Amino acid sequence: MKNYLRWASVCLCITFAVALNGQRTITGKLIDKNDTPLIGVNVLVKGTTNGTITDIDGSYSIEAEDGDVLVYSYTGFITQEMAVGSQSVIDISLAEGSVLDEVVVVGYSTQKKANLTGAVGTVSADELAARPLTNASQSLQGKVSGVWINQNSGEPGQDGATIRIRGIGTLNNADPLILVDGIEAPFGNLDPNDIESITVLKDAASASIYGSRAANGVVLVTTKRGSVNQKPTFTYTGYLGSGQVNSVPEYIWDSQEFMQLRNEADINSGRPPLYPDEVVARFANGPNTNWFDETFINAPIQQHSLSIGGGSGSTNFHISVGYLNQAGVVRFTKGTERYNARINLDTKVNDKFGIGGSFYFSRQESDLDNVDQDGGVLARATRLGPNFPALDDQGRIADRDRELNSIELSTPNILAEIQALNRILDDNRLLGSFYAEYEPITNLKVRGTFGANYQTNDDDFFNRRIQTYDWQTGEEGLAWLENRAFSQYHDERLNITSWLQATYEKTMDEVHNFKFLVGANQESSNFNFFQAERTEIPSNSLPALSAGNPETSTNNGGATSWALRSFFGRVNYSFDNKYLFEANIRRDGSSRFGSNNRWGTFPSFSAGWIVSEEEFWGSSIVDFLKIRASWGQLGNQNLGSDFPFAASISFDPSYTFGGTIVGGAAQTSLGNPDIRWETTTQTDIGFNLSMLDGRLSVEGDYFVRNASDILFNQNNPGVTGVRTPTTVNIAEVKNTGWELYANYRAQVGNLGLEFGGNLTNVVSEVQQIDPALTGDADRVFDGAFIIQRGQPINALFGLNVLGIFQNQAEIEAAPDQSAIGGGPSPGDFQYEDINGDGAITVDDRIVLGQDNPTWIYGFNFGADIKGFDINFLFQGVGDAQIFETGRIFAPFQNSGGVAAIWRDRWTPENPDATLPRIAISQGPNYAVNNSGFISDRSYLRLKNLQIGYNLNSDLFENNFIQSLRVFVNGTNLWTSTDFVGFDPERPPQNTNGFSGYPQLRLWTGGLTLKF
Amino acid sequence: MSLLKNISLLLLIICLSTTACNDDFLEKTPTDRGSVDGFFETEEDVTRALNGVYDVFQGSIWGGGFYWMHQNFDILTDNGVGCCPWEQQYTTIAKGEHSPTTGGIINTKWDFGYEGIFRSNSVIENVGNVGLPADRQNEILAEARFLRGLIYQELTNLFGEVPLVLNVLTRDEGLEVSRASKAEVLAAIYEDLDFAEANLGTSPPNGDIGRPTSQAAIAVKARLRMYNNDFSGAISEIRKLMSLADQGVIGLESDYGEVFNPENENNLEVLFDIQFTGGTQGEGNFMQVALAPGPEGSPGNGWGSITPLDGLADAYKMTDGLSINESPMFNADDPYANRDPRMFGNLFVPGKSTWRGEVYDASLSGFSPFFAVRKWVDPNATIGEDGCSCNETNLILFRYGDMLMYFAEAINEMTGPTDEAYAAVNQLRARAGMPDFPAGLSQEEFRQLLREERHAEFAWEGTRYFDLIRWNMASETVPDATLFGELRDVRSFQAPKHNLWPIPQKEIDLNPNLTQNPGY
Repeated sequence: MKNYLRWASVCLCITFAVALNGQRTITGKLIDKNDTPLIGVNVLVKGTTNGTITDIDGSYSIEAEDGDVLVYSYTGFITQEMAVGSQSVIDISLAEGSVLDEVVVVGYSTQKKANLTGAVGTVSADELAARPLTNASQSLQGKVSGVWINQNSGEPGQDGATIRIRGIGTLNNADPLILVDGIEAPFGNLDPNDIESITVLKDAASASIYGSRAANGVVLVTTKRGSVNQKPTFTYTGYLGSGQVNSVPEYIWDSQEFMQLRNEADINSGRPPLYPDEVVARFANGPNTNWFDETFINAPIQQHSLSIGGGSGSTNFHISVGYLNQAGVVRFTKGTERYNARINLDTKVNDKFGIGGSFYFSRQESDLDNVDQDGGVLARATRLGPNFPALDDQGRIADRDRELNSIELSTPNILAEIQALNRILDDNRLLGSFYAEYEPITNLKVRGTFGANYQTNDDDFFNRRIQTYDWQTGEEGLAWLENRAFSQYHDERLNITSWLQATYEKTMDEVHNFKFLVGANQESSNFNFFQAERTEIPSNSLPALSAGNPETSTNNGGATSWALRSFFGRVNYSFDNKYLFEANIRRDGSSRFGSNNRWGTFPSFSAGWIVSEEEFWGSSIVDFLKIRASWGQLGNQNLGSDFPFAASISFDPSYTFGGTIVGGAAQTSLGNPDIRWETTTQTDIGFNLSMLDGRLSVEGDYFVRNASDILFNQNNPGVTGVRTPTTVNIAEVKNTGWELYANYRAQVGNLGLEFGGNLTNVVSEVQQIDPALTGDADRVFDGAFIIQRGQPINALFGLNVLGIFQNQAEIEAAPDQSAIGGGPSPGDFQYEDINGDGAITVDDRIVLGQDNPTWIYGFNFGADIKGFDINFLFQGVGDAQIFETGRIFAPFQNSGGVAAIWRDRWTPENPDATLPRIAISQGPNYAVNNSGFISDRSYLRLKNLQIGYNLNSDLFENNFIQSLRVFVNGTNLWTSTDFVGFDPERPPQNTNGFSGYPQLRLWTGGLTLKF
Repeated sequence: MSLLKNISLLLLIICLSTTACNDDFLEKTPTDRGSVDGFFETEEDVTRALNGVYDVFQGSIWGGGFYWMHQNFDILTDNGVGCCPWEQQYTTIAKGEHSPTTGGIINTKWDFGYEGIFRSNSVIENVGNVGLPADRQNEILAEARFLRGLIYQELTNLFGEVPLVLNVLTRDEGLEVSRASKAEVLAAIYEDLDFAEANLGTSPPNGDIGRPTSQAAIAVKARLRMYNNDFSGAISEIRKLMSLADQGVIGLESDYGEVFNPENENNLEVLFDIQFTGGTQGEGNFMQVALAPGPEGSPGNGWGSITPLDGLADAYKMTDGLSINESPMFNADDPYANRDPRMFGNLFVPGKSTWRGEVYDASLSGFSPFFAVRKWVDPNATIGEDGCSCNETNLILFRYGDMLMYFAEAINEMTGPTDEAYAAVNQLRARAGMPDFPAGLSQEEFRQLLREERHAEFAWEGTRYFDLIRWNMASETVPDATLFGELRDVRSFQAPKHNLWPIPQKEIDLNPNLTQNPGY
């Protein structure tokens, strides 16, 4: 077959050669500076669609005429042109390109990195290749300066990441706008193997073209497409591996130590000791159950992806299918499975007209635990003492022995709870888009796009009944839960986007280069849900509403919608490739605002000066230097409610007359017809530098991001009779920061080296919440967080601990502490009297820390030699704190367990302890937020280590296989932190407890095969 | 220039493609909630809005209702103390520690009061726009104005001078209101209630039991007049009720316990109550679960959350009409024998009362160490199994018995004890199974006995707190929180400061025009 094709093409060549006089075959080979053949280089006759790509040996063959110019282009290399003269063999050594030659995707367009005037970060497919990213939103972590990516949980299927670009600039939703191929879509369910590039638009100049949705930054995800005249290439990537939670805090799992410590805490709390001595004695031999070990298991993971990319002279395509299966790391949960498929297709109907489209489907099914009491399965596991086993002799779920059961709170065995509380999530996404592009006159391109993004989610809870057995007698113990219940939730969302844009490009007098863009865009979104529940389900094997008692039915449902219409435009002007200017404007109308303030306009301006292009620039070390500045305004219309302007009637109010319930109605929100956008004004100054022949590139930015008119709920005066607060444009938040990115590449003989790093510093300050209030009075509490004028956003607030009282004399000498839990005893915390009034009160609370990290950084190191390569990716945050009061600092809370850090507690014999005397839950004197229980959650983590080997193409004589790479990956292998809780990488949490799983440590191995 | 031409062409295309360049595309309104504009179109809309006013009276177990745990007003008096954090908002007031920032029931009364007033105003402003027949429109207006008057009556009793909001306010208007004088407030309430009296019948609109009647409007006025020492006004209001009683429209139940029997709700004596239905979240009351004896956990049992005190127990005299200190009938070995039978209608008494078919003893009293509250408790309740541990017992706010007692009191205050005064109070005495008031009492003696009689009759009905304040007895009585002589709570009532509650600070913070009550 293959030979036949080859013969056929030779015949075809001959035919062409005969038919078109003057055309002849040019052959050649493309290599890099190490003489390695380059596979898949595009070779094109300039100004035509006649092109080919190099084969496995780097060779090509193309028909060309004398005087034609051949263009050789290859990702990561400098594009080279060569005029066809008399020669018939043209061998080319392509030079690796500087990053500045990269073309990056920007809003509604692309731009050469060298010509960018805004602050833009990018991640390319190469950087993501083969990493076990179970959720695409993890892909930016540690890679882009100014971007804080925080994976929320290690739980398979629940492992999306929160993305914060340049701090938090609002008191509302701070998520950036995410566009996949230009259409708003969630990022999490994409197959990372489909991603060609990710661009983060960080400053106002680059983001303002997205106007009212861009205040939190914009992430542009571009998927892979085929190239014209490219032989179809199959790529298979797959890996297998296994994962487990990377760390759990140490708890006391020795039964006797646990019980003795409990008794000590009881005495300190003024209660009789819970465990009589004879009971303690009975547990001399355990069982010493480690509930974390019983809860978490090693879970396999596998991912497979197959894609075919290629194209003919007028049509190109990229088709892919993927499968991910990640088993649950908590016992009895099945984990998650995802199937996805994509078709990206483009075709040229004629020289002026092209059409194309994309279609993506994904389905993710997750079987999770639904333990949510106390903040989740981990917190529940810490509520158990080590004094009974997880399973009895017969492998059944064990319960405490009866005597213990009469002493302790009957918190169920966590395994019973996990089995009893089952949750199944189904998530279906369908993303389809179609475009047509027309070029009526040269360089004027008009493009229209229509896209639909449809998703459904199902969320089913099944509360089953799990019997436990006294582990000593085998008698039936606790049954959890008594009443089986099944709840079913379904929602559906449809987003429709249509947009039309025109671009025009013109160069005048060779030095004046203009680019124009105008466009219009509109989007609408409809969402609805319903939910139903029944209880009294007769069996554990009947998760169905119909099985429940109809009299116990409850149901609920709702719907919402929004729409957005926008007009936008951009002008780029560059003079002599030295002076760059850009202006953007966007006008948005949003249904989320009343007609009084429905439309908003968002301008931006930016300029760049490529200093190194100036004649006076004589440096031979620095080969490129650009200085740039930008200013612009962005909006935020993502306010949590689709109708914050509307005064609405609720039909909930009801009453009963003589036993008959009657429906009522009442206005329950005042609405605010004047509500308008939150506006973020951002100023950015930056530079791009490339030196040492492009081996070192450095990029830096300083920015000031001022968000004003932030929507915040203000209480209504009681006399209005509407208790729901009214949303008004009132608050201001400022983020100031700088970011630095550097990359260095070197080649030492056969050894290639790459170092990269990025560092970001962001400081936020709440400028005002309510202008009517002054100073510190201008504050609101949000759980454990405080939002207070002059302080960082989501600050932590409490009493400052000076130390531990050693004796009664110290207590008497200190300011009066009696208001805190009835007064201290020796071994309790001594608090600082901040206002000096001689007594510790709520007025002595101060800001003790902040949840959001001030420092965000990542760095990577890579080396390759003779086909082997190794890459390390480190990532971390600095200066971030949290109240870890959930369990760690609340020993024996609700009859629960105790963390091992309490071994170093204050006792008269251990006066230099780090912790106060132990007491039940939070002792009388420390049941308040205080600095003693703040934990620093700064960390440095080896996020990924990849070792790979590219098999030499000479090995594959059959010409079938183009390349083969085998690799091993380790994720979250090592962490350095002082954090006392489960995992310092955790979502911001303003309540006690911990709801996520620690991140997983994954080991995977796999291969990438191209044929 | 061809470029410009092309751009104009493009804009034209954009316009055409985006649904004709109008803003309809951006007009979205909530689809799962109603819109305020255009809500009032039919009688049904008005009726729904009117029903919405009543909703503010109910609330959940943790609060959220204008009459939330109304019986807890008695733990501001010598009748009882609350056990637990959920009564803290009342306990703080009992201790005299309440301040403008205390919140709790103080804010609840303010917020839910004005919520009800706003909802009434909304009906009053819109009822004329839906084309109702004049009499139906007047009936709705009367009902709405009754509810507004009722709420203002409670607000002015608690806060004194309050902002008089008689129409729907915008937020900006709400930020500038100031307090009206007491006279203006009273005049407005009487005007509302006079209108309600004139336009409501003696049976409720639409036959819906629980909607107000003209006698309900009279009763609210009568109480307000008593609280403001307008005795002649109170007498003339109550005379109207007495004539209705003569016609058999209202009257006294023949048995004290039957007034509160859940099987005998909406009886002749009830002038206005808050209606509840069990088992439905938001429609039931939580008196049962709070007050009933234990053991906790069984359906229909409660927490015994209130500890009844000596003050109330001693208010129940011996059946000879003498107090336990005076009566020869009192036997210290059997202290609860031969007592005013109303004792057992108001208290679970160990060894005497029955609970769940067994003799009640102190071990069943829940948080209370000895007695438990009997009034409002349904002995047959089985609620608590289906998610809402709430029951159906209605909370009676105004009953004819109260009016008779006011009548006797008002006459005594004006002219001393006349036959009419004796007759009124002796009706209640006879119903209770107690001897008539002794003849020939002086005004002061009659006043004293009448006050003791009110104490015994109206336990747990939320009126004693206001009675103590208007009698200037709160400072001496409130701190008297003993059980068997042992102090259960350290309390303080400073008159006149505590005669009124503070205006919530959160309101003053928003609106500098609002002044604070003296002393706070």
